[in-house]
Amino acid sequence: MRIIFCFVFCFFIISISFSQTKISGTITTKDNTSLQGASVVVTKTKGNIILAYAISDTNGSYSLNINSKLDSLQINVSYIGYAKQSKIILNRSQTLNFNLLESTEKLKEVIVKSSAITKRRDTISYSVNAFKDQKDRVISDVLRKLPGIEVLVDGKILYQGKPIQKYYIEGLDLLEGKYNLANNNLPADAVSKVQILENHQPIKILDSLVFSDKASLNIKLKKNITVTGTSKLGIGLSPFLWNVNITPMLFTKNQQMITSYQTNNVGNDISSEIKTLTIEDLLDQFESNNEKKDWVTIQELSSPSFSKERWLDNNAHLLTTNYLVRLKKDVDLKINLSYINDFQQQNGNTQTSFFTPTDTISIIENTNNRLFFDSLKSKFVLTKNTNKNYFKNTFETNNYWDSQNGQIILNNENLNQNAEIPFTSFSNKLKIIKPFGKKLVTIISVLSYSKSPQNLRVTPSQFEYLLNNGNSFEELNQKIEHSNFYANNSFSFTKGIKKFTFIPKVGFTIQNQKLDSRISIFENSIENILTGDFQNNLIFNKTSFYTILNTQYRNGDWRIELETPLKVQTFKREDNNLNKNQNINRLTFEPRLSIKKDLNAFWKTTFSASLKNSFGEINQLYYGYILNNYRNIQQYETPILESLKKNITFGISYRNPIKSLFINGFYSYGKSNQNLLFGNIINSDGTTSFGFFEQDNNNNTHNINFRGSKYFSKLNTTLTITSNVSLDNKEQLLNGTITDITTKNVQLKGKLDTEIIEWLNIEYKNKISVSNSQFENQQAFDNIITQEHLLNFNFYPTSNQYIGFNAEFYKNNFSNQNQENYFLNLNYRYTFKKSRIDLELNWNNILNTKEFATIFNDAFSYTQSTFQLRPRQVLMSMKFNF
Amino acid sequence: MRKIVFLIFLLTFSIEIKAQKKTEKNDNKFKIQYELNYVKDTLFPNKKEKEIFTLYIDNNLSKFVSNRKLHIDSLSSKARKDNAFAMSFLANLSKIPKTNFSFEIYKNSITKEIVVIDKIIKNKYIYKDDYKNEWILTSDTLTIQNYKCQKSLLNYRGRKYEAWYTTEIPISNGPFKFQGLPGLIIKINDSKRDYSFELIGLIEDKNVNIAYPKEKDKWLISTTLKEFKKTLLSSSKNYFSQIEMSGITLNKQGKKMFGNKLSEKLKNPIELKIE
Repeated sequence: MRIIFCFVFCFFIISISFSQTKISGTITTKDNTSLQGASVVVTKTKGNIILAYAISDTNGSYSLNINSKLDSLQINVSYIGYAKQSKIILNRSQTLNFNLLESTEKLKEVIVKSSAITKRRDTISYSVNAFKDQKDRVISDVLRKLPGIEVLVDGKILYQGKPIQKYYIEGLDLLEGKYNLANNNLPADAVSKVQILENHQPIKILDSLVFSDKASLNIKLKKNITVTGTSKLGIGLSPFLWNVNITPMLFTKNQQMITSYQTNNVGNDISSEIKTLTIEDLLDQFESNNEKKDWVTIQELSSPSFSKERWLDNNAHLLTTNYLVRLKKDVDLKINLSYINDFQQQNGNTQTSFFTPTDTISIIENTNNRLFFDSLKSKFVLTKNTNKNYFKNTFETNNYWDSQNGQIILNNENLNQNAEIPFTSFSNKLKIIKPFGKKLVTIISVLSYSKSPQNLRVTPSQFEYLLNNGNSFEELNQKIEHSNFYANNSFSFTKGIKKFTFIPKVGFTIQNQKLDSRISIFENSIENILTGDFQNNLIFNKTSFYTILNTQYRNGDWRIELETPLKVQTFKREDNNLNKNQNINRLTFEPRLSIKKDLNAFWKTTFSASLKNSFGEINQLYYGYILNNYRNIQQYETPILESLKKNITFGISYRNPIKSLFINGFYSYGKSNQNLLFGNIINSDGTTSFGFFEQDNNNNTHNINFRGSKYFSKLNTTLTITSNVSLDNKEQLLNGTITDITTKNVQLKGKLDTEIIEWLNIEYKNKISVSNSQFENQQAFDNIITQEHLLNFNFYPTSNQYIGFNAEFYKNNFSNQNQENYFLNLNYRYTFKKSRIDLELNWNNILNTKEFATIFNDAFSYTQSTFQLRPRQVLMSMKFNF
Repeated sequence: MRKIVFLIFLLTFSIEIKAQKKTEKNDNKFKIQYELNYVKDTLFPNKKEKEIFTLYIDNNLSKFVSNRKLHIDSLSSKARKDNAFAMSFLANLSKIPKTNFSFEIYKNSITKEIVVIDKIIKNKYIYKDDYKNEWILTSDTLTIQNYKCQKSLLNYRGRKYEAWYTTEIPISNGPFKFQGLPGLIIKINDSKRDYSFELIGLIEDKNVNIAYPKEKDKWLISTTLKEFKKTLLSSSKNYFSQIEMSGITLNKQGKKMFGNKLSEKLKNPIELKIE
């Protein structure tokens, strides 16, 4: 058989070689230099049918095999810039050399027709009816099908591969980027057209200066008035559980509204729904310097570190509405209002031990806390957006009427605390962009004012020796009124010179704060307002004039940034009634340097160093006593805290994507020097007096961090290991003695994520941490070891079903009882494809674990608390559109 | 002596003439544009996406790259030059259409060598591709863009292509990794019409200068096509842990927000089968 095959094969080869013609040769130019890359084509003499071809090699030679029975052939040689040569030859093997002559003949050029993309302000309209079919319910289903448009998993819309910058409904931008709310709930039937506005620059003043090739999307509705929305309904046991979400919407020509009402008692933290998520807005909040301050609180329980749904005992209601009205051309007013009402309960025990060099003091508390949250937040945004300038003014008010009630059984004695913690704030932020020559100048002005009259009542008496010559009394009452005015105005622009960029900024801040407080005691139902040291009438004023120069340098793989803020700061602290005051003036220089250098494709390094001054805040500056909670009363007669912190960080990272191996690590060292020493005095009844004492002292911290991850492609598994070692050394005053305290902390985290089979995903996470504290080189406690292990199984049996099973295990070595906690949860979801209704079943805390124990330890105390958890519960919910 | 000096003079002069001749040599430098219409996801075969590519010809060397990628690269190099601060650069970058084709394909039409530089997340890779195009010539002709074209067939990595090339432009090149015909490819598409390139522009441009990449570059990770595709696959699967390695912690919502750009590249790749 083989021989036959071989024979046939040989015959085949021979027959080929018989009918094959081989033509070879070299191609040269006029001066006899060889020409590489010329094309040699052999065709039939008529009809231009190509029989063979070759490209001349580096020596200008070519070689062709022609398999044809024709008598004569045509050979053509061509190269750009040379005249084409053709010859009719006989069909037989031969050597043919060509010498090409230069020619001035040019190729026919093809000029690209300017495409629509380069045109400005182009509007493309898609008719929704043409793309819609029966399955499509909301507008995002249709958007997915439009050419050039993509909708990502998270709902982000891309046009020509780039994210759209604005989502308008009838030309109005209600949601400022949070367009999912509209996109996933607006029925396709209500929409007539989807428009794409190409090269759209939303800030009109930038239009002439900053070209935008970004597109915006506009939804044209069928009717002038559209009402629509979505809803979710869930009920469960036991006790009776509910989880409801109703979100209606309204769109008209010049007004738009999206409203949402949500309520639950299943442990969903409702406030996260209206949390600020974008970085820019978060920075804005920080800038206006009027965050809520709680001067007094009841003694809260430390909450477990895991998911709130396991332990949050709530009864929450949220009502939010977003409204936009177009006042006139280019002028929009937006109003966002939200109201939250929540009632939360905490039950548990706390055992606190205060460690002193001579003694350990322990107290046991049995706590029942009721927390009432009540708040109204409003935001008014006025934007004027014209060709000549950009103006955006945001006015915000926040009102809180929070109150707390705590019942503590302390060593068999009943203790009652009532705190009222209202807070009101107003703030205004103005941003203007104006052209100044070729540069754009940015002016920002922030003004804010807040006021909080707060109040704490404690029964029975505390701190009798301090407050009432050792005699007990019925009730202790702390009243506080704090107000805060803040202004920050700045002016900045950007200038680039070669490889440097300079961003100079000048501005000033003013902060005026007022703190009035008094303590009163009730004896035989008569209120006795304590005078002298038990009252504050404090005024604290801060001013700062600053100039900041940010310099950036970039060259190849080096990136260097240097910031040099120079500030003239004054602090004025005055209490006329107590006849005490302090003024300080400081010129501060706080440079910050960061250097990044990439070594090659795998290794990267970073280095940074900084110097930072900080000064005490008003909550550490009052001269008279304030009761913060029933255990803590204090005054600060010491000077204003001043500290200087130096910090150095070095980091290195290695990435090898081919091996799917990533490693990075950094080391940081911080040293701070301050004029005040922190300390405490523990009284025999367990109450403490904290405070600062004038004494220069240092604090050193070392921190080493490592992280590595490896992906095993055959097992479809990722393994990640993180570790952190920190060492902190400082001095502290413990019951009158200056003590050297060293805290060590080692943390190790592991994570394994695997998807061996398509319908099963397994995730395992653990966290082990070991910590210990040393006082004067003496170990204070045994090592405290806490462990956390989480195991999740996610099954996807069909495309519309999901089963999630998760197990959690927590362990610590702190106390003898309740060392270990186990949890099991089961989730099941089914989606009805046609009606697009989601049905979900959650079975939480299957093992019915009732309590969770946590430990907290710092330099001079440790606290173990047990926290009552949500019992075993079942919840069924349904989600649909209306 | 004089004779010798004269001879040397003559010799150097002739060398100079020769050298001059060399620089005067006919330079073939062109900028050729192709439009690609492609099916990104076979689930939606009627939804065609579009992207424009440029093929730079510098004599025997050529570079094939997406115009969107050129745009992104020019912006980032401009940012580096102007030393623009990161935020404004990112803001500008987000305005540019993203490309699904991050490769730069370098070809040598004489040696038929192909070198590709491509990118996954932040890393740049370089690999050689030795795959030979085995063209089957046919006698079909067609006039496209005023060029008389001839049809040629090719089986290439899991797809069957028909290419229309013209001998009127004796440049043995074409879009993507296609080359080796006795003329420029004017149009090429696969039998399913998932990928279809067509010439939309050709101009002579003396400024074209191709810096052929070196494999030993310390900023490039040297690899093979097979290994590169494997890395792409595994990177798309552990995309989030790679992002997390850069220090960003992502919760479930965060993961949803990011989406996975890499898996887009895997849905309907131009190279279906890699030997």
